[in-house]
Amino acid sequence: MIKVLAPGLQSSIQDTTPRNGIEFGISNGGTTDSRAAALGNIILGQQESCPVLEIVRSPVKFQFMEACTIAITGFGMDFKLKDDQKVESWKIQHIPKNSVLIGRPTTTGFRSYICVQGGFKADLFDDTYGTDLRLGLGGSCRALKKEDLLIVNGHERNLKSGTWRISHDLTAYPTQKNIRIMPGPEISWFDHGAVHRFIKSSWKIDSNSDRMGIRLKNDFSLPMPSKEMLSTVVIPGTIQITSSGPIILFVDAQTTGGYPRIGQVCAVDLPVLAQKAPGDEILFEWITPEQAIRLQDSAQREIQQIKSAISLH
Amino acid sequence: MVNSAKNHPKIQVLSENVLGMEWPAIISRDQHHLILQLKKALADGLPSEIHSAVPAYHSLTIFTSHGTSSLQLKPKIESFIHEWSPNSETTSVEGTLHNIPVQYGGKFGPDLEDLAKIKQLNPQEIINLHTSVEYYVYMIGFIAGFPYLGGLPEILHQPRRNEPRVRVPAGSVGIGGAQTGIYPVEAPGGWHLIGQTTTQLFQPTSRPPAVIQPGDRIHFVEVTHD
Repeated sequence: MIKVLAPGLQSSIQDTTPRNGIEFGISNGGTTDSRAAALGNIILGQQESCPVLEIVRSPVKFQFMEACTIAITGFGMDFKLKDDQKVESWKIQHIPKNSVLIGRPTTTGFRSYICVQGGFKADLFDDTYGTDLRLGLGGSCRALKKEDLLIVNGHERNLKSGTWRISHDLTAYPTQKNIRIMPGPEISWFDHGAVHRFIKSSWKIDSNSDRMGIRLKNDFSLPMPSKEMLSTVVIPGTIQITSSGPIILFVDAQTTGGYPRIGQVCAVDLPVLAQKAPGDEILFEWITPEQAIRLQDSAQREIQQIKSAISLH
Repeated sequence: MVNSAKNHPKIQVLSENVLGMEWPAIISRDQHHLILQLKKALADGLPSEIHSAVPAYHSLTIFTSHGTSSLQLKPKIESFIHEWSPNSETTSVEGTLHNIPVQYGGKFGPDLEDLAKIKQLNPQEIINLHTSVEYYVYMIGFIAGFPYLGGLPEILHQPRRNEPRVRVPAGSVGIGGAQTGIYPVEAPGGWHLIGQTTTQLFQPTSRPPAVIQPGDRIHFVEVTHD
């Protein structure tokens, strides 16, 4: 069992499997940086979709009531034990019974994952273990509070502490400034000037962003098309233009929307967005659907390669 | 009617694994019947490549199965539609008629009196109008189990409240713009609340979790307070 001493801004149990209920109005949900969450579980030699703890950059403190084998991934936080022993990320770590794990914010990245061998015990909702914070269902049913107890599922294998960690090349993506996007269905509704300004400008992440949507700010506003749009199905990564600026719909976004869609963030750059903190700047870059699919294929191959490399250890 | 709607939809790649099919941007029951028919036909015709197809007012959004990209699926859907002829019998997709009991006014519908004043009607006339028609469910969205309904009598159309409520209780029945609807779960919202139902529209552990589905019809029935 792990006791929450300081829960941070928003910590919740999530998993990498999106929910299936779009047709019933249920958001995708799940981990925002599914790449980091999956890698954490892969390091521990377990299913990529094991429930993990997603932590938004802020001070946190957990007391381990039992010894656990963990891997911390993601970015934006440094972890140490109470006796000042550093707990390095992206590798297997043994946390002795009664240790207190302390996380402190750093400057690059925004979301960290504590992955534990066996996975966290979590509520099932719509076939996944992620928390739907709005409905209060699944996972931890809400953001963690002080004094909450997290139960770790049992496991059989004993893992040796790693002398290896995931290569730095594979964990450099939080510094990536360019977000690659495909043209959206309503792009022709915008005049050329507006599209030009949208793609040529650097955009700042607004503090009003969350798992539902990433709001972007600038010192000018894009002219809205005069046409009214009928609501339709929207997906995470869709960039809608509203009168208060662009919004990139994120994992907990509502399933239907009625604002014109100028673009769609490619799947491999959603983890990059998850690591952007309020105030960070991003720049968009057009790619074709063909390119986006190729990027997704090679990202999946890369994960497979890491998996086989680790299983050889 | 169905013939005019046979106009082939525009098919666009929305993402690596999602295709969007769009028909003319109108809210029409005939066109929607065609969309629902195609949803069913595609699920039967390309079961291994399509994970799910989600209808909205004038669109059908296709999620591919794992291992199939949107670009691989696009030509297959195009040739499928080319071969496909919709059935003129629309009853095959007409769904269930739900009678939804509503307690109107008072603490159940805190905005009924104000809405009546704006409309220069008495509250009972608002209720009579609201219960006089059968509504059609075009899609589910916004929040879990929330039905987008068509058919609200024009006289009841009313722009949203200037100040949205932070919490609208589950079961609330409201009017917003040209729409009426039911909040299945507690949510923030800017609609005028005229009543409340005890029918639970969203049951997270049921399959399917949403009681009401696209193509279904809804009839509100007034029940009186104890």
